[in-house]
Amino acid sequence: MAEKTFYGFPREDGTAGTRNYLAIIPTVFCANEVVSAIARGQPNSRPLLHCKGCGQLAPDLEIITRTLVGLGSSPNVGATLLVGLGCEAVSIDEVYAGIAQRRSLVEKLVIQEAGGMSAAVRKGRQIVERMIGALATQKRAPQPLANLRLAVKCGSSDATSGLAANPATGKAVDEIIAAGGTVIFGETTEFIGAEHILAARAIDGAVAQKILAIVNRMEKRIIQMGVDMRGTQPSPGNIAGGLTTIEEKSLGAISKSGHQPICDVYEYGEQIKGSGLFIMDSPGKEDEFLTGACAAGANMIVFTSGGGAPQGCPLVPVVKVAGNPDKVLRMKEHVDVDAGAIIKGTQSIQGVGRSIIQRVLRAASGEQVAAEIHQYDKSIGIYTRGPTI
Amino acid sequence: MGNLGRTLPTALMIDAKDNVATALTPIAKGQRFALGSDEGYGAELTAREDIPRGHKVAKGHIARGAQVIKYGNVIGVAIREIKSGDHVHIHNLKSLRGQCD
Repeated sequence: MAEKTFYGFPREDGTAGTRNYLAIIPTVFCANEVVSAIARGQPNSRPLLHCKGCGQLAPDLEIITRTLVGLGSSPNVGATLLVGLGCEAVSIDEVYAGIAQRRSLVEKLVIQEAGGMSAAVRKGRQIVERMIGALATQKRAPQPLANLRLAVKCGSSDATSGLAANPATGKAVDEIIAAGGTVIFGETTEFIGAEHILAARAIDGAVAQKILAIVNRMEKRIIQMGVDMRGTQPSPGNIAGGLTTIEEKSLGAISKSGHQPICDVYEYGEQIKGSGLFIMDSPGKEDEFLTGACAAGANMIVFTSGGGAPQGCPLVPVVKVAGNPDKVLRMKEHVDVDAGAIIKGTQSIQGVGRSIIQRVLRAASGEQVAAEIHQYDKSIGIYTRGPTI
Repeated sequence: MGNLGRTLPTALMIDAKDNVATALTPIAKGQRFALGSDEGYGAELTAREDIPRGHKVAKGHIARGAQVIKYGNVIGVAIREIKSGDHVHIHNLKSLRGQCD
């Protein structure tokens, strides 16, 4: 690889940020309004509004807690303000303690303790002013590729996805891992039909078993809802487009993960340790995958599609790769890397893979991606599995 | 890979181990086409059937019961003999993983 560094913000725990945000995180949806009001007029703050945190069962509360800890400990977050209501099921103290283990710039604010919205917003703004001042003193420094933690996902897929954007991203992933970087992929439902191939890429038998187990678990949940994904794939539309078997469809999706061995499997929102290629058990739903990837510690994301998909996320730059030459022109403003040249026969998969790496490293050093330019990057979503109560 | 001066339609091989390639443009029955890969253009073949864009074409003979390979991995087995240049789809290729156990 020609370029082997990027310029990032060094963090206390050895990670590096590609952005330097102040995260304002509600620990429950009931604090969203206060978080919005505190963030107003603070361009470097990221209010991470969500709809979880109470009225849920313990296993889901655990997922939410670790996801919020992960968001507050993201390499791209220089400081965090947590805002709770005071009576919610998720413990703000637990989230605070989790973030404080890795970061010194973290504070918490409870609306019922502050005496209502007006007082909480006033207090919150004072904290934010202080934190913004501290963030301004932090500077970018050269980082080795070992500090690049890239998540990859696909969405808005079409018949070109498995031919252009996904395999080209797979080439980029192989090179990034060979250079010491870390890559995270997931979207467990897309493994169905090719889980045996992923299991064969595991570094050992225990990791292979974990891969099969998360696919089996996801498939059981789907069957509980009365739906047979395995028996109904590929869809009639896929078949018309040329896909014949579920193996082929799944391989097209997972080709974005390249060919390197899979080092381990993590639960949704867990912080990923070590370097290499990892799986995060996760849905394909855009906001929930992207949020989980941020919580897992990703500092860059590549998102592949057919004709272009606009969604970014609030904490991590999302590089958009689109491969359908007929459609990509219409969605041009949302595309960072055009993989359509593969379909036109004018560029190789490898060649587009190199363009993806270059675009990722430029964005990691601060160049804005399309989703940032258009501010199409406000939503988060936390994946939970159980009923609300 | 580049299309300098090339007028033939291309079928893309994603992995060197693949025994099928994907048509990047429609290929008509009897038409010559080129196999494209990261190594550039390989052999020229003749389509024995119409191959719609995005569909697979066999790059060699595949015996009945033999594995069909794409992405360097098995995507199913041939349920009848497949000849070089044949359209490979639901009529001659079957999943090994499509049913719940």
